Amino acid sequence: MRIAVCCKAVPSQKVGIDPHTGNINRSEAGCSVNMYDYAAVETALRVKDSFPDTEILVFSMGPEGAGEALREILSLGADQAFLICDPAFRGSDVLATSLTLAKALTLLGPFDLILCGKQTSDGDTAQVSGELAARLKIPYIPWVTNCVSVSRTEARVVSEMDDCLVTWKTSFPALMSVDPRAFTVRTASLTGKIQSRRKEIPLLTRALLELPEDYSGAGASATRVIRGEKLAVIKGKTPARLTPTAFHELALSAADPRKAVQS
Amino acid sequence: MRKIILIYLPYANGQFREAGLELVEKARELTDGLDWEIRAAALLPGEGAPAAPLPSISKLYLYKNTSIYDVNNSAAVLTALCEEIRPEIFLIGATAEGRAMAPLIAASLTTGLTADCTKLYFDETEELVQVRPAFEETLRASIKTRTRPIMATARPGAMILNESRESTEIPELIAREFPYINSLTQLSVDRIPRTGIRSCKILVAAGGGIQNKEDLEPLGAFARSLGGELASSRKLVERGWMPRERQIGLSGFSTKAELLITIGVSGSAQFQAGIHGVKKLIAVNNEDTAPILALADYPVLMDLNELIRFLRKESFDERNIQAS
Repeated sequence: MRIAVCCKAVPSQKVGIDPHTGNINRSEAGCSVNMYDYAAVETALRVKDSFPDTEILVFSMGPEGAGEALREILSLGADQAFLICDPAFRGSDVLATSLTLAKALTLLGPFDLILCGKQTSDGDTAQVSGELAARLKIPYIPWVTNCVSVSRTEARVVSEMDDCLVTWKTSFPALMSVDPRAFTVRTASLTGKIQSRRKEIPLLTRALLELPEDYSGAGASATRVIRGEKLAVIKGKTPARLTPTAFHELALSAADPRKAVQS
Repeated sequence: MRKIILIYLPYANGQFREAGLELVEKARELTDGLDWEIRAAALLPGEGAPAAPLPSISKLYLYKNTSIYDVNNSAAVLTALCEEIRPEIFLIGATAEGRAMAPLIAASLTTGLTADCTKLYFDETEELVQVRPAFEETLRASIKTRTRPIMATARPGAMILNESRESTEIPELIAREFPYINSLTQLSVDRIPRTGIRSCKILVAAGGGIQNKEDLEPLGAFARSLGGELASSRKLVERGWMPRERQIGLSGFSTKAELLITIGVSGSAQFQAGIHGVKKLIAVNNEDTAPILALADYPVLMDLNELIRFLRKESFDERNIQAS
Protein backbone atom coordinates (compact mmCIF):
# COMPACT_ATOMS: atom_id res chain seq x y z
CA MET A 1 0.00 0.00 0.00
CA ARG A 2 1.01 3.58 -0.50
CA ILE A 3 -0.05 6.24 1.99
CA ALA A 4 0.47 9.98 1.80
CA VAL A 5 0.37 12.01 5.02
CA CYS A 6 -0.01 15.77 4.69
CA CYS A 7 1.50 17.75 7.52
CA LYS A 8 2.08 21.36 8.33
CA ALA A 9 5.01 22.88 10.12
CA VAL A 10 3.58 25.63 12.30
CA PRO A 11 5.38 28.55 13.88
CA SER A 12 6.41 27.50 17.35
CA GLN A 13 7.12 30.96 18.70
CA LYS A 14 5.35 34.25 18.69
CA VAL A 15 4.63 35.53 15.22
CA GLY A 16 4.34 38.95 13.72
CA ILE A 17 2.32 40.36 10.86
CA ASP A 18 4.05 41.78 7.84
CA PRO A 19 2.96 45.42 7.82
CA HIS A 20 3.04 45.57 4.00
CA THR A 21 1.16 42.43 3.02
CA GLY A 22 -0.95 41.81 6.11
CA ASN A 23 0.21 38.20 5.96
CA ILE A 24 1.71 36.31 8.84
CA ASN A 25 5.48 36.56 8.96
CA ARG A 26 6.70 32.99 9.16
CA SER A 27 10.37 33.64 8.58
CA GLU A 28 10.96 34.90 12.13
CA ALA A 29 9.64 31.88 13.92
CA GLY A 30 10.94 28.37 14.50
CA CYS A 31 8.74 25.52 13.26
CA SER A 32 7.33 22.36 14.74
CA VAL A 33 4.87 19.79 13.44
CA ASN A 34 1.25 20.88 13.87
CA MET A 35 0.08 18.83 16.85
CA TYR A 36 -3.16 17.84 15.09
CA ASP A 37 -1.16 16.01 12.42
CA TYR A 38 0.31 13.37 14.74
CA ALA A 39 -2.93 11.35 14.73
CA ALA A 40 -2.76 11.14 10.93
CA VAL A 41 0.89 10.06 11.17
CA GLU A 42 0.04 7.37 13.73
CA THR A 43 -2.83 6.09 11.57
CA ALA A 44 -0.38 5.57 8.71
CA LEU A 45 2.18 3.92 11.01
CA ARG A 46 -0.42 1.44 12.27
CA VAL A 47 -1.29 0.41 8.74
CA LYS A 48 2.42 -0.14 8.15
CA ASP A 49 2.57 -2.25 11.35
CA SER A 50 -0.07 -4.54 9.80
CA PHE A 51 1.28 -4.42 6.25
CA PRO A 52 5.06 -3.87 6.48
CA ASP A 53 5.41 -3.33 2.74
CA THR A 54 3.37 -0.11 3.13
CA GLU A 55 5.16 2.98 1.94
CA ILE A 56 4.49 6.22 3.85
CA LEU A 57 5.28 9.49 2.13
CA VAL A 58 4.99 12.76 4.03
CA PHE A 59 4.18 16.04 2.28
CA SER A 60 4.40 19.48 3.71
CA MET A 61 4.18 22.92 2.17
CA GLY A 62 6.13 25.66 3.84
CA PRO A 63 9.35 27.68 4.05
CA GLU A 64 12.74 25.94 3.91
CA GLY A 65 13.06 25.83 7.69
CA ALA A 66 10.01 23.57 7.83
CA GLY A 67 12.03 20.62 6.54
CA GLU A 68 13.65 19.97 9.91
CA ALA A 69 10.25 19.65 11.58
CA LEU A 70 9.42 16.81 9.15
CA ARG A 71 12.48 14.88 10.33
CA GLU A 72 10.56 14.04 13.48
CA ILE A 73 7.95 12.20 11.40
CA LEU A 74 10.69 10.30 9.58
CA SER A 75 12.14 9.23 12.94
CA LEU A 76 8.74 7.73 13.83
CA GLY A 77 8.85 5.44 10.79
CA ALA A 78 7.69 7.33 7.68
CA ASP A 79 9.70 6.38 4.60
CA GLN A 80 10.20 9.67 2.87
CA ALA A 81 9.34 13.31 3.39
CA PHE A 82 8.98 16.06 0.80
CA LEU A 83 8.92 19.77 1.39
CA ILE A 84 6.85 21.68 -1.15
CA CYS A 85 8.77 24.91 -1.12
CA ASP A 86 9.27 27.80 -3.47
CA PRO A 87 9.24 31.56 -3.05
CA ALA A 88 6.42 31.53 -5.62
CA PHE A 89 4.19 29.62 -3.18
CA ARG A 90 4.29 32.38 -0.58
CA GLY A 91 0.93 33.82 0.39
CA SER A 92 -1.08 30.77 -0.73
CA ASP A 93 -4.60 30.57 0.67
CA VAL A 94 -6.55 27.34 1.04
CA LEU A 95 -7.44 27.24 -2.66
CA ALA A 96 -3.85 27.71 -3.85
CA THR A 97 -2.46 25.39 -1.17
CA SER A 98 -4.83 22.56 -2.08
CA LEU A 99 -3.99 22.99 -5.74
CA THR A 100 -0.25 22.81 -5.10
CA LEU A 101 -0.57 19.84 -2.73
CA ALA A 102 -2.81 18.03 -5.23
CA LYS A 103 -0.19 18.52 -7.93
CA ALA A 104 2.58 17.06 -5.72
CA LEU A 105 0.43 14.10 -4.70
CA THR A 106 -0.52 13.39 -8.30
CA LEU A 107 3.10 13.55 -9.40
CA LEU A 108 4.32 11.15 -6.69
CA GLY A 109 1.14 9.07 -6.55
CA PRO A 110 -1.00 7.15 -6.89
CA PHE A 111 -1.84 6.63 -3.21
CA ASP A 112 -4.38 4.29 -1.65
CA LEU A 113 -4.93 6.49 1.35
CA ILE A 114 -4.27 10.17 1.98
CA LEU A 115 -4.31 11.28 5.60
CA CYS A 116 -4.50 14.80 7.02
CA GLY A 117 -4.77 16.17 10.54
CA LYS A 118 -8.13 17.59 11.53
CA GLN A 119 -6.92 21.18 11.49
CA THR A 120 -3.83 23.24 12.19
CA SER A 121 -3.06 25.00 15.41
CA ASP A 122 -2.21 28.26 13.65
CA GLY A 123 -4.67 28.81 10.80
CA ASP A 124 -7.33 26.68 12.45
CA THR A 125 -9.53 26.54 9.34
CA ALA A 126 -9.71 22.73 8.85
CA GLN A 127 -10.31 23.35 5.15
CA VAL A 128 -7.25 22.11 3.29
CA SER A 129 -8.09 18.40 3.62
CA GLY A 130 -11.55 18.82 2.09
CA GLU A 131 -10.33 21.00 -0.76
CA LEU A 132 -7.54 18.52 -1.45
CA ALA A 133 -10.03 15.64 -1.67
CA ALA A 134 -12.19 17.63 -4.09
CA ARG A 135 -9.14 18.50 -6.22
CA LEU A 136 -8.09 14.85 -6.37
CA LYS A 137 -11.74 13.83 -6.95
CA ILE A 138 -11.61 11.11 -4.30
CA PRO A 139 -14.06 10.43 -1.43
CA TYR A 140 -13.57 12.55 1.68
CA ILE A 141 -14.18 11.32 5.21
CA PRO A 142 -14.01 14.17 7.70
CA TRP A 143 -13.40 14.19 11.46
CA VAL A 144 -12.31 10.57 11.87
CA THR A 145 -12.23 9.78 15.59
CA ASN A 146 -11.74 6.04 15.30
CA CYS A 147 -10.01 3.95 12.69
CA VAL A 148 -11.73 0.59 13.12
CA SER A 149 -9.90 -1.45 10.50
CA VAL A 150 -7.81 -1.03 7.40
CA SER A 151 -7.26 -3.83 4.91
CA ARG A 152 -5.39 -3.68 1.62
CA THR A 153 -8.54 -2.71 -0.22
CA GLU A 154 -10.82 -0.87 2.19
CA ALA A 155 -11.08 0.98 5.50
CA ARG A 156 -13.76 1.16 8.18
CA VAL A 157 -13.69 4.37 10.16
CA VAL A 158 -15.90 6.38 12.51
CA SER A 159 -16.57 10.00 11.68
CA GLU A 160 -17.94 12.42 14.27
CA MET A 161 -20.72 14.59 12.88
CA ASP A 162 -22.89 17.10 14.76
CA ASP A 163 -24.86 14.79 16.98
CA CYS A 164 -23.85 11.33 15.92
CA LEU A 165 -20.99 9.00 15.14
CA VAL A 166 -21.20 7.58 11.62
CA THR A 167 -19.33 4.41 10.71
CA TRP A 168 -18.23 4.37 7.09
CA LYS A 169 -16.74 1.77 4.81
CA THR A 170 -14.68 3.12 1.96
CA SER A 171 -12.67 1.59 -0.80
CA PHE A 172 -9.42 3.22 -1.94
CA PRO A 173 -8.36 5.79 -2.86
CA ALA A 174 -9.85 7.94 -0.10
CA LEU A 175 -8.84 10.94 1.95
CA MET A 176 -9.45 11.24 5.68
CA SER A 177 -9.01 14.04 8.17
CA VAL A 178 -8.06 12.42 11.45
CA ASP A 179 -9.08 13.79 14.85
CA PRO A 180 -6.45 13.70 17.65
CA ARG A 181 -8.74 11.40 19.62
CA ALA A 182 -8.21 8.60 17.08
CA PHE A 183 -4.65 7.82 18.16
CA THR A 184 -1.85 9.10 20.35
CA VAL A 185 1.40 9.07 18.46
CA ARG A 186 4.19 6.66 19.41
CA THR A 187 7.64 7.81 20.50
CA ALA A 188 10.57 7.51 18.13
CA SER A 189 13.12 4.75 18.68
CA LEU A 190 16.82 5.60 18.83
CA THR A 191 17.35 3.74 15.53
CA GLY A 192 14.50 5.72 14.03
CA LYS A 193 16.08 8.97 15.13
CA ILE A 194 19.50 8.03 13.75
CA GLN A 195 18.07 6.85 10.44
CA SER A 196 16.00 10.00 10.04
CA ARG A 197 19.16 12.13 10.27
CA ARG A 198 20.58 10.43 7.20
CA LYS A 199 17.53 10.99 5.06
CA GLU A 200 17.34 13.73 2.49
CA ILE A 201 14.19 15.81 2.51
CA PRO A 202 13.84 16.80 -1.16
CA LEU A 203 12.37 20.16 -2.03
CA LEU A 204 9.51 20.13 -4.50
CA THR A 205 9.79 23.47 -6.23
CA ARG A 206 7.42 25.13 -8.65
CA ALA A 207 9.61 24.02 -11.54
CA LEU A 208 9.72 20.40 -10.36
CA LEU A 209 5.96 20.35 -9.94
CA GLU A 210 5.65 21.81 -13.45
CA LEU A 211 3.33 24.53 -12.18
CA PRO A 212 2.87 27.64 -14.32
CA GLU A 213 3.97 30.83 -12.64
CA ASP A 214 0.51 32.17 -11.82
CA TYR A 215 -0.71 28.81 -10.57
CA SER A 216 0.19 29.12 -6.91
CA GLY A 217 1.06 31.58 -4.20
CA ALA A 218 -0.60 34.92 -3.53
CA GLY A 219 -1.42 35.45 -7.22
CA ALA A 220 -3.49 32.27 -7.39
CA SER A 221 -5.20 32.84 -4.07
CA ALA A 222 -8.87 33.73 -4.05
CA THR A 223 -8.85 35.31 -0.62
CA ARG A 224 -6.75 38.20 0.49
CA VAL A 225 -6.14 39.51 3.97
CA ILE A 226 -6.89 43.21 3.62
CA ARG A 227 -6.14 43.92 7.24
CA GLY A 228 -4.56 42.06 10.10
CA GLU A 229 -4.93 43.62 13.47
CA LYS A 230 -4.04 42.91 17.01
CA LEU A 231 -7.09 42.50 19.17
CA ALA A 232 -7.95 45.99 20.27
CA VAL A 233 -6.99 46.49 23.86
CA ILE A 234 -10.07 48.32 24.98
CA LYS A 235 -9.27 49.75 28.31
CA GLY A 236 -11.88 48.15 30.48
CA LYS A 237 -12.28 48.40 34.20
CA THR A 238 -9.08 48.43 36.17
CA PRO A 239 -8.52 44.91 37.47
CA ALA A 240 -9.02 44.53 41.18
CA ARG A 241 -6.45 42.71 43.28
CA LEU A 242 -8.48 40.37 45.42
CA THR A 243 -7.68 37.84 48.09
CA PRO A 244 -9.05 34.34 47.44
CA THR A 245 -11.67 34.90 50.15
CA ALA A 246 -12.85 38.15 48.57
CA PHE A 247 -12.95 36.50 45.15
CA HIS A 248 -14.98 33.64 46.55
CA GLU A 249 -17.53 36.07 47.96
CA LEU A 250 -17.73 37.86 44.61
CA ALA A 251 -18.29 34.55 42.82
CA LEU A 252 -21.00 33.50 45.29
CA SER A 253 -22.91 36.76 45.02
CA ALA A 254 -22.67 36.73 41.22
CA ALA A 255 -23.92 33.15 41.08
CA ASP A 256 -26.79 33.75 43.46
CA PRO A 257 -27.61 37.38 44.18
CA ARG A 258 -30.15 36.40 46.88
CA LYS A 259 -27.44 34.83 48.94
CA ALA A 260 -25.41 38.02 48.77
CA VAL A 261 -28.34 40.04 50.12
CA GLN A 262 -28.78 37.66 53.05
CA SER A 263 -25.14 37.74 54.05
CA MET B 1 -30.53 40.91 -12.19
CA ARG B 2 -30.34 41.16 -8.42
CA LYS B 3 -27.34 39.69 -6.67
CA ILE B 4 -28.07 36.56 -4.64
CA ILE B 5 -26.95 35.46 -1.19
CA LEU B 6 -27.40 31.70 -0.91
CA ILE B 7 -27.56 30.13 2.54
CA TYR B 8 -27.28 26.46 3.36
CA LEU B 9 -29.75 25.45 6.06
CA PRO B 10 -28.63 22.37 7.97
CA TYR B 11 -31.60 20.28 9.05
CA ALA B 12 -31.94 17.86 11.95
CA ASN B 13 -34.82 16.22 13.81
CA GLY B 14 -37.59 17.99 11.97
CA GLN B 15 -36.16 21.49 12.11
CA PHE B 16 -33.53 23.80 10.72
CA ARG B 17 -30.49 24.18 12.92
CA GLU B 18 -29.66 27.45 14.62
CA ALA B 19 -26.41 27.71 12.63
CA GLY B 20 -28.34 28.24 9.39
CA LEU B 21 -31.09 30.45 10.79
CA GLU B 22 -28.50 32.81 12.25
CA LEU B 23 -27.03 33.27 8.79
CA VAL B 24 -30.47 34.10 7.38
CA GLU B 25 -30.68 36.77 10.05
CA LYS B 26 -27.20 37.99 9.15
CA ALA B 27 -27.98 38.11 5.43
CA ARG B 28 -31.11 40.14 6.14
CA GLU B 29 -29.07 42.56 8.22
CA LEU B 30 -26.43 42.86 5.47
CA THR B 31 -28.89 43.54 2.68
CA ASP B 32 -31.32 45.71 4.62
CA GLY B 33 -32.34 48.55 2.29
CA LEU B 34 -30.19 47.17 -0.56
CA ASP B 35 -31.31 45.48 -3.75
CA TRP B 36 -30.26 41.89 -3.01
CA GLU B 37 -32.10 38.57 -2.96
CA ILE B 38 -31.70 35.88 -0.28
CA ARG B 39 -32.25 32.25 -1.18
CA ALA B 40 -31.69 29.11 0.87
CA ALA B 41 -31.11 25.42 0.28
CA ALA B 42 -31.69 22.41 2.51
CA LEU B 43 -31.21 18.67 2.23
CA LEU B 44 -33.98 16.67 3.84
CA PRO B 45 -33.91 12.97 4.67
CA GLY B 46 -37.62 12.38 4.01
CA GLU B 47 -40.66 13.91 2.39
CA GLY B 48 -42.05 17.29 3.28
CA ALA B 49 -40.54 20.43 4.66
CA PRO B 50 -40.65 22.26 7.95
CA ALA B 51 -43.42 24.84 7.79
CA ALA B 52 -41.53 27.43 9.82
CA PRO B 53 -41.61 30.89 8.32
CA LEU B 54 -38.27 32.05 6.99
CA PRO B 55 -38.15 35.83 6.90
CA SER B 56 -36.63 37.50 3.86
CA ILE B 57 -35.94 34.32 1.89
CA SER B 58 -37.43 34.47 -1.59
CA LYS B 59 -36.78 30.88 -2.66
CA LEU B 60 -36.04 27.73 -0.67
CA TYR B 61 -34.58 24.77 -2.55
CA LEU B 62 -35.43 21.47 -0.92
CA TYR B 63 -33.43 18.44 -1.95
CA LYS B 64 -34.60 15.00 -0.98
CA ASN B 65 -31.44 13.31 0.22
CA THR B 66 -31.02 9.68 1.11
CA SER B 67 -27.64 9.95 2.78
CA ILE B 68 -27.64 13.06 4.92
CA TYR B 69 -24.27 12.28 6.50
CA ASP B 70 -22.27 11.81 3.30
CA VAL B 71 -20.79 15.26 2.74
CA ASN B 72 -19.43 14.22 -0.66
CA ASN B 73 -22.99 13.84 -1.85
CA SER B 74 -24.30 17.01 -0.18
CA ALA B 75 -21.40 19.00 -1.64
CA ALA B 76 -22.19 17.73 -5.15
CA VAL B 77 -25.82 18.85 -4.76
CA LEU B 78 -24.87 22.35 -3.59
CA THR B 79 -22.10 22.74 -6.16
CA ALA B 80 -24.64 22.05 -8.90
CA LEU B 81 -27.04 24.58 -7.40
CA CYS B 82 -24.33 27.26 -7.30
CA GLU B 83 -23.50 26.59 -10.93
CA GLU B 84 -27.15 27.01 -11.78
CA ILE B 85 -28.12 30.14 -9.86
CA ARG B 86 -24.66 31.76 -9.59
CA PRO B 87 -24.92 33.41 -6.17
CA GLU B 88 -22.65 36.33 -5.32
CA ILE B 89 -22.25 35.02 -1.77
CA PHE B 90 -22.72 31.52 -0.33
CA LEU B 91 -22.90 31.22 3.47
CA ILE B 92 -22.70 27.93 5.34
CA GLY B 93 -23.16 27.36 9.07
CA ALA B 94 -19.98 25.93 10.58
CA THR B 95 -21.50 22.77 12.01
CA ALA B 96 -19.41 19.59 11.66
CA GLU B 97 -21.32 18.94 8.44
CA GLY B 98 -20.94 22.50 7.13
CA ARG B 99 -17.24 22.63 7.92
CA ALA B 100 -16.72 19.40 6.00
CA MET B 101 -18.80 20.22 2.94
CA ALA B 102 -17.78 23.87 2.43
CA PRO B 103 -14.20 23.08 1.27
CA LEU B 104 -15.48 20.39 -1.11
CA ILE B 105 -17.80 22.93 -2.74
CA ALA B 106 -15.24 25.75 -2.79
CA ALA B 107 -12.60 23.61 -4.50
CA SER B 108 -15.14 22.30 -7.03
CA LEU B 109 -16.15 25.87 -7.88
CA THR B 110 -12.52 27.09 -7.67
CA THR B 111 -13.49 29.87 -5.34
CA GLY B 112 -12.25 31.34 -2.05
CA LEU B 113 -13.54 30.17 1.31
CA THR B 114 -13.18 31.83 4.71
CA ALA B 115 -13.71 29.65 7.76
CA ASP B 116 -15.40 30.53 11.03
CA CYS B 117 -16.18 34.18 10.45
CA THR B 118 -17.10 36.17 13.53
CA LYS B 119 -18.17 39.25 11.59
CA LEU B 120 -19.48 39.87 8.07
CA TYR B 121 -20.09 43.32 6.63
CA PHE B 122 -20.34 45.16 3.33
CA ASP B 123 -17.80 47.78 2.38
CA GLU B 124 -18.90 50.94 0.57
CA THR B 125 -19.18 49.04 -2.75
CA GLU B 126 -21.34 46.26 -1.25
CA GLU B 127 -18.41 43.87 -1.33
CA LEU B 128 -18.36 41.38 1.53
CA VAL B 129 -15.63 41.71 4.17
CA GLN B 130 -15.10 38.59 6.28
CA VAL B 131 -13.52 38.88 9.71
CA ARG B 132 -12.09 35.90 11.54
CA PRO B 133 -9.68 35.29 14.39
CA ALA B 134 -6.35 34.18 13.04
CA PHE B 135 -3.27 32.52 14.32
CA GLU B 136 -4.37 31.36 17.67
CA GLU B 137 -3.75 34.26 19.96
CA THR B 138 -4.49 37.88 19.47
CA LEU B 139 -4.72 38.51 15.75
CA ARG B 140 -7.84 39.20 13.76
CA ALA B 141 -7.91 39.20 9.97
CA SER B 142 -10.26 41.01 7.60
CA ILE B 143 -10.54 39.10 4.34
CA LYS B 144 -11.88 39.82 0.86
CA THR B 145 -12.49 37.27 -1.88
CA ARG B 146 -11.83 37.98 -5.55
CA THR B 147 -13.63 34.92 -6.94
CA ARG B 148 -17.38 34.20 -6.96
CA PRO B 149 -19.27 33.02 -5.11
CA ILE B 150 -17.65 34.45 -1.99
CA MET B 151 -17.90 31.51 0.41
CA ALA B 152 -17.79 31.77 4.18
CA THR B 153 -18.70 29.66 7.18
CA ALA B 154 -19.69 30.94 10.62
CA ARG B 155 -19.92 29.08 13.90
CA PRO B 156 -23.30 29.01 15.56
CA GLY B 157 -23.41 31.75 18.18
CA ALA B 158 -20.13 33.32 17.08
CA MET B 159 -21.65 36.39 15.45
CA ILE B 160 -23.31 39.27 17.20
CA LEU B 161 -26.79 39.67 15.73
CA ASN B 162 -29.42 42.34 16.05
CA GLU B 163 -32.79 41.39 17.51
CA SER B 164 -34.62 39.29 14.97
CA ARG B 165 -37.71 40.77 13.39
CA GLU B 166 -41.05 39.01 13.69
CA SER B 167 -42.15 37.63 10.38
CA THR B 168 -44.65 35.29 8.84
CA GLU B 169 -43.24 35.38 5.32
CA ILE B 170 -43.06 31.96 3.71
CA PRO B 171 -40.60 31.46 0.88
CA GLU B 172 -41.40 29.86 -2.44
CA LEU B 173 -40.56 26.17 -2.08
CA ILE B 174 -38.72 24.47 -4.90
CA ALA B 175 -38.55 20.68 -4.52
CA ARG B 176 -35.60 19.02 -6.20
CA GLU B 177 -34.28 15.54 -6.80
CA PHE B 178 -30.60 14.81 -7.04
CA PRO B 179 -29.05 11.48 -8.01
CA TYR B 180 -27.13 10.05 -5.05
CA ILE B 181 -23.45 9.73 -5.78
CA ASN B 182 -22.36 6.61 -3.99
CA SER B 183 -18.86 7.27 -2.76
CA LEU B 184 -19.00 5.87 0.76
CA THR B 185 -20.95 3.04 2.38
CA GLN B 186 -22.69 3.99 5.61
CA LEU B 187 -22.55 1.08 8.07
CA SER B 188 -24.10 2.58 11.20
CA VAL B 189 -25.14 5.79 12.95
CA ASP B 190 -24.93 6.20 16.74
CA ARG B 191 -26.31 9.21 18.59
CA ILE B 192 -23.86 11.07 20.81
CA PRO B 193 -25.27 11.74 24.27
CA ARG B 194 -24.72 15.45 24.91
CA THR B 195 -23.50 16.85 28.17
CA GLY B 196 -25.73 19.72 29.27
CA ILE B 197 -22.77 22.07 29.40
CA ARG B 198 -23.76 24.08 26.35
CA SER B 199 -26.92 25.29 28.03
CA CYS B 200 -25.43 25.63 31.54
CA LYS B 201 -26.31 28.91 33.28
CA ILE B 202 -23.11 29.10 35.32
CA LEU B 203 -19.70 28.11 33.98
CA VAL B 204 -16.19 28.20 35.36
CA ALA B 205 -13.61 28.03 32.56
CA ALA B 206 -10.03 26.96 33.25
CA GLY B 207 -7.31 28.18 30.90
CA GLY B 208 -3.65 27.83 30.03
CA GLY B 209 -2.63 29.61 33.23
CA ILE B 210 -3.47 26.43 35.15
CA GLN B 211 -0.17 24.67 35.69
CA ASN B 212 -1.15 21.19 36.87
CA LYS B 213 -3.84 18.80 35.76
CA GLU B 214 -4.65 18.08 39.42
CA ASP B 215 -5.64 21.74 39.88
CA LEU B 216 -8.72 21.11 37.77
CA GLU B 217 -10.21 19.05 40.58
CA PRO B 218 -10.72 21.93 43.06
CA LEU B 219 -11.86 24.12 40.16
CA GLY B 220 -14.48 21.52 39.22
CA ALA B 221 -15.69 21.35 42.84
CA PHE B 222 -15.80 25.16 42.95
CA ALA B 223 -17.89 25.25 39.75
CA ARG B 224 -20.35 22.70 41.11
CA SER B 225 -20.57 24.56 44.43
CA LEU B 226 -21.88 27.54 42.45
CA GLY B 227 -24.42 25.31 40.72
CA GLY B 228 -22.36 25.29 37.54
CA GLU B 229 -19.97 23.18 35.50
CA LEU B 230 -16.28 23.28 34.65
CA ALA B 231 -15.41 24.25 31.07
CA SER B 232 -12.08 25.15 29.52
CA SER B 233 -10.19 27.04 26.86
CA ARG B 234 -8.56 25.28 23.92
CA LYS B 235 -5.13 25.08 25.53
CA LEU B 236 -6.19 22.60 28.19
CA VAL B 237 -7.97 20.45 25.60
CA GLU B 238 -4.80 20.37 23.52
CA ARG B 239 -2.83 19.35 26.62
CA GLY B 240 -5.30 16.49 26.98
CA TRP B 241 -6.44 17.71 30.41
CA MET B 242 -10.02 18.56 29.47
CA PRO B 243 -12.46 16.77 27.14
CA ARG B 244 -13.23 18.52 23.86
CA GLU B 245 -16.96 18.81 24.52
CA ARG B 246 -16.16 21.18 27.40
CA GLN B 247 -14.18 23.60 25.26
CA ILE B 248 -15.49 27.15 24.91
CA GLY B 249 -14.53 29.13 21.81
CA LEU B 250 -14.49 29.09 18.06
CA SER B 251 -13.45 25.45 17.78
CA GLY B 252 -15.51 24.54 20.84
CA PHE B 253 -18.97 25.78 21.76
CA SER B 254 -20.55 29.19 22.28
CA THR B 255 -22.11 29.90 25.63
CA LYS B 256 -24.87 32.25 26.68
CA ALA B 257 -24.28 31.61 30.38
CA GLU B 258 -25.66 33.99 33.00
CA LEU B 259 -22.26 33.87 34.70
CA LEU B 260 -18.86 32.86 33.35
CA ILE B 261 -15.84 32.84 35.62
CA THR B 262 -12.56 32.34 33.78
CA ILE B 263 -9.53 31.20 35.72
CA GLY B 264 -6.19 31.65 33.97
CA VAL B 265 -7.78 32.14 30.53
CA SER B 266 -5.86 34.75 28.53
CA GLY B 267 -8.79 35.44 26.17
CA SER B 268 -7.54 34.71 22.65
CA ALA B 269 -9.63 35.81 19.68
CA GLN B 270 -10.77 32.23 19.29
CA PHE B 271 -11.94 32.05 22.94
CA GLN B 272 -13.65 35.44 22.71
CA ALA B 273 -15.72 34.22 19.75
CA GLY B 274 -17.48 31.79 22.09
CA ILE B 275 -18.49 34.21 24.85
CA HIS B 276 -20.43 37.04 23.12
CA GLY B 277 -23.64 35.87 24.72
CA VAL B 278 -22.36 35.71 28.32
CA LYS B 279 -24.33 37.97 30.66
CA LYS B 280 -21.76 38.44 33.43
CA LEU B 281 -18.02 37.75 33.15
CA ILE B 282 -15.59 37.47 36.04
CA ALA B 283 -12.05 37.01 34.74
CA VAL B 284 -9.25 35.95 37.03
CA ASN B 285 -5.67 36.12 35.83
CA ASN B 286 -2.21 36.63 37.22
CA GLU B 287 -1.07 38.82 34.34
CA ASP B 288 -2.61 42.23 33.86
CA THR B 289 -1.93 42.09 30.10
CA ALA B 290 -4.41 39.23 29.50
CA PRO B 291 -6.97 40.52 26.92
CA ILE B 292 -9.82 38.86 28.81
CA LEU B 293 -9.46 41.35 31.65
CA ALA B 294 -10.50 44.20 29.35
CA LEU B 295 -13.74 42.39 28.52
CA ALA B 296 -14.70 41.38 32.01
CA ASP B 297 -17.40 42.93 34.16
CA TYR B 298 -15.15 42.00 37.07
CA PRO B 299 -11.48 41.77 36.10
CA VAL B 300 -9.51 40.22 38.96
CA LEU B 301 -5.76 40.00 39.40
CA MET B 302 -4.68 37.18 41.63
CA ASP B 303 -1.95 34.62 42.10
CA LEU B 304 -3.56 31.53 40.57
CA ASN B 305 -1.58 29.14 42.77
CA GLU B 306 -2.84 30.93 45.83
CA LEU B 307 -6.40 30.63 44.53
CA ILE B 308 -6.01 26.90 43.88
CA ARG B 309 -4.62 26.38 47.38
CA PHE B 310 -7.59 28.28 48.81
CA LEU B 311 -10.11 26.29 46.78
CA ARG B 312 -8.47 23.03 47.82
CA LYS B 313 -8.82 23.97 51.48
CA GLU B 314 -12.47 24.98 51.15
CA SER B 315 -14.56 21.89 51.45
CA PHE B 316 -17.52 22.64 49.26
CA ASP B 317 -20.71 21.09 50.40
CA GLU B 318 -22.45 20.53 47.11
CA ARG B 319 -25.66 19.34 48.76
CA ASN B 320 -26.37 22.80 50.12
CA ILE B 321 -26.30 24.34 46.72
CA GLN B 322 -29.46 24.75 44.75
CA ALA B 323 -28.91 25.36 41.09
CA SER B 324 -31.41 27.98 40.05
